[in-house]
Amino acid sequence: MTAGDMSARDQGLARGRGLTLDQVWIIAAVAFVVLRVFLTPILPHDFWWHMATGRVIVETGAIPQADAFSYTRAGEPFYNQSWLAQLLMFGLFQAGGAPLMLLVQAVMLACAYGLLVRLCIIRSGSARLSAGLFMIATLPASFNNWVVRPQSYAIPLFVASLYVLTLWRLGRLRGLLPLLALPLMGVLWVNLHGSFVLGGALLALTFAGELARRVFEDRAEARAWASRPVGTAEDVLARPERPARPPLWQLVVAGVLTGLAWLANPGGIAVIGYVRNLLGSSQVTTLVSEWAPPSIRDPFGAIFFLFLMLGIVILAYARRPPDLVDMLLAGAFLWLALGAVRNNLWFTAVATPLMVCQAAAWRREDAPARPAFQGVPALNAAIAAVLGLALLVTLPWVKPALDLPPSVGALIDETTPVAAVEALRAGPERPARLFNEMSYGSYLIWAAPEQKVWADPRIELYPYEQWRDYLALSEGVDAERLLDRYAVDAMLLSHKYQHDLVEWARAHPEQWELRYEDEQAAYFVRA
Amino acid sequence: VTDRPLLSNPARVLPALRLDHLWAILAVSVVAVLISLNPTAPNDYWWHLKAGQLIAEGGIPTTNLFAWSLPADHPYVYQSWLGELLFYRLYQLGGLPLTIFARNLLGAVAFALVAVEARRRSGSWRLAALAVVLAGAMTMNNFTTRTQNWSWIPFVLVFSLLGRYVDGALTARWLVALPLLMVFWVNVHGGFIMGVLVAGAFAAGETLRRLLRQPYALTWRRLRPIYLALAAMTLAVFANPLGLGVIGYLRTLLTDEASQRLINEWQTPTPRTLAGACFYLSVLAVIAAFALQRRRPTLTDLLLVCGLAWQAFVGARYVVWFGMAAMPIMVQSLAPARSPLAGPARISLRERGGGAAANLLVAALLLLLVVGVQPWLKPLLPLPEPYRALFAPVPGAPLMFSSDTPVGAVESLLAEPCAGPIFNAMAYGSYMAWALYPAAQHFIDPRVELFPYRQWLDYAALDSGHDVEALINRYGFACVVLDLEYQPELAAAMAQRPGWVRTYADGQSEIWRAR
Repeated sequence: MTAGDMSARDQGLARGRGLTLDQVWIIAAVAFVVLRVFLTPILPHDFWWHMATGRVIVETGAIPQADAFSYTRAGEPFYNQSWLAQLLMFGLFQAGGAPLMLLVQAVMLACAYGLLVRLCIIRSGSARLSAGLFMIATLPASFNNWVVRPQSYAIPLFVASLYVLTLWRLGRLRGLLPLLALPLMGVLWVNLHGSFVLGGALLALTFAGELARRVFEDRAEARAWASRPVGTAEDVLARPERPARPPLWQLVVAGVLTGLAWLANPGGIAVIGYVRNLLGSSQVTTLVSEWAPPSIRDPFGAIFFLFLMLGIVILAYARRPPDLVDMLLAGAFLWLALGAVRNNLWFTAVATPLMVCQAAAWRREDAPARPAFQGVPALNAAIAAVLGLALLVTLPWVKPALDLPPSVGALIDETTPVAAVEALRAGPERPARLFNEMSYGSYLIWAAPEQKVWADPRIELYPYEQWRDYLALSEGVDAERLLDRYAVDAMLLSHKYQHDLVEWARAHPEQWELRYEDEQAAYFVRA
Repeated sequence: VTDRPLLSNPARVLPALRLDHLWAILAVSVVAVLISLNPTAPNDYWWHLKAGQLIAEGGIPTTNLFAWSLPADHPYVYQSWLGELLFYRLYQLGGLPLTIFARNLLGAVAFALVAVEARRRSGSWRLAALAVVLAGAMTMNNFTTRTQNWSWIPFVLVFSLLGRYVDGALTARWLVALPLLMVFWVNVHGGFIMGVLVAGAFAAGETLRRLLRQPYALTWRRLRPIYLALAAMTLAVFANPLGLGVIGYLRTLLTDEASQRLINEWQTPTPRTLAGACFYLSVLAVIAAFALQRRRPTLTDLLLVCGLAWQAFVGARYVVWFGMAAMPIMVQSLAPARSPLAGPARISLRERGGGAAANLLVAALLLLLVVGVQPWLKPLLPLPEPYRALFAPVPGAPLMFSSDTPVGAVESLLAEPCAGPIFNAMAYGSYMAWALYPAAQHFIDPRVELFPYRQWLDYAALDSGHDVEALINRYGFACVVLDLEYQPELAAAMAQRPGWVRTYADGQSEIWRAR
């Protein structure tokens, strides 16, 4: 029996008697995704500069090809791959501000993870197990990556690709037609985010896994047939028919079309070079924490490794071997995740159906199938209503009125230097060479576009040496020499990330005059 | 399972040394050669050897001694005193080459024990070979000569003895060896705690199996010796000069901010290094083996694998324990279910090659290879120049110590002593403790937990060539002994400083003196 055959034994999705407990589990899983998004303020790093680029595209009618936001790299070429996402973000912000951005983010992720839960239910036949494992394992291991930025637009595309490919190989989607969704999504994806190559990876790994599985299964069947006990004529003649399998050429066609779809972007084939350069960029892989391998000392790194341990235990005690394609996908994406924190997201998405499917196989196959307890419809409805109410009161338009702590109640993360930038803009004279905290650079690009920045989260734009100086300066090391070297005339600093430099500037009032300070930021001007 | 055919009509008579054995011998030989070829970094070698000398001459020291940046009587725990003393006695007996040979031998025996344990669990020497190769590959960054070497064999023995007892291959009296091992272990290296943890995992896992009434779970009567062994091992931990204080030492070591934040081997392994990639590939292999298992791991196996994996995720220095225990467990899952009747017949069918004589010849050649790379013979081999360039010209010890051993620089300091406090690269501090102390002291060395975190931050700043003037003034350095490979920015900064002159340079090290 394959995983996909485990359809209705304990699915328990009874219809027509009101809300079942299974349905409450599914609602809860999706609701928690939405709640997490609603209660997470927008981080500045990869938000504002993308929005500002979207604004430039709208205003100029062209995608910028060179840096126009910094004074340290002004005019240097910069490949702006996520132009469509930037346009979308800017359009949404114009239409409804931060609340609409959060709502769209929540809807996108709810759709993506709802589809993932549905895939798990199809694979395992158990709504409760699917939703339960999703909530206790997948959700915590994924949500540190749910930041409002172009990557978020890629998540639904990734899950949809996984969904289509899985259902195709299970025989639930037949023919080439469903696979044509992949190149169509490819066109969108290649203009939204650099992770578009992962769609191709899903396709290629599915093809490789299916091919290997067929070879292994055919060999096993031939061996079994050759060594069968022969006693009657039926033993010789009644060779069992091979199971119907979707033809692999369909995957090849879909793969070729998806590859061609990637060319449908303003840079053409150059987009592949962009991804390669990004992955090989030493400043990106060594300086940016989310491109660094996960560390167990970081809470989300620890959650990731716990997720991995849970996977090991589930796989070790399942009563049937896992699907080869699932294993191949999980192995490849695990390798990616071990290389960079930001890839946890993709790994958890491909590993969850495998884990649910194998966890379902913990039960003995000969165990009596009993209908799952579906609760009391009225109580189920009440639980769903409470969840709905929680969503309503945390809506971005409502939650500011609740007086929640800023870490969950704010729309824009409190580390965004809104007041400090206003103070800078209101000052009598504007600095020509401002040194700024990296994420502050992102906000400055948006809120004070005329103020060129020293650096911002476009890590690959700036040379490695500059980032090393940034780190040294932020720790207050060799500050005088470095500030002189870059001829810095003002500093917009973060108390949280540049405490040592703030203290250094305070200790040198004859050189640095404090013009503005709040809980988050300090603004110094050379005296 | 015996190697003697049990069937009345076996396919053929098996030679004593079979092709199967050769696989394992090959794997152990490859790892032994890898260990022997590995240059010993100065970091954790020389200062331990110096401590061994001090212990031999006047008892276990309890204070800093080697560094001027802290008072000489600043407390410091020489927990690995016996490991240090053993290395020093070996040095007295056969010079530096004998200490390196000890490392090679300890490694070869430890990985041979891994092979034997993997064979016992899987029933296959070929799978045992796989276990050894994977364990060796992920450990390659841990092959330097240091007191951790003394922990390798005790670890495999604890793991193996308990595993054999649980499988019914050994009687309870064998467990008496465990506390005795611990008495040795707790005095040679801080890794002794692994013995207690492994025994604890066996006790917890087997108790759970009993409580869950799993098939082949030990009876309560057979569990009792494990509990007693665990208790005795815990008590044996206190048989050291510090007594109960050894726990406090461990706590200090594991929570030391500088070690946890700044030292590479205390960080989560990264797949961007070869050893890290091998480690994570092995994790993937464990997952695949458990998922596609032919034999399901027991709860104890799972506890061991997950616990040791977690520890390895915490710091690269713990990968060695994961390799030595998890790889035998992994190959156990890959092995077919045991069948006492089919085993020898299958082995017989697989046996190919030239028979006993040819197999012996291959084994002898492998042994020759391992012997040929030992410290006394290695310099005679026509080794490629890039490999030779990895080593420093330590007198009497060619091709043994890595090129960042500052032999020439320290000779220069001995010939022309520095007029004041010396700044030095961290690893150099270790060699300076050996070759310079007590004639001169250094700024910092790899006893990371000894020095305050602030001092490490200053060291890191100087390392990067930042704040050079302020830091030189603050500490009053009269000499800077730097490593060009790791401190090029500092070298560039020194070249631009007026009032300083370079008095020594050899391509690896430089000495700058204040005029």
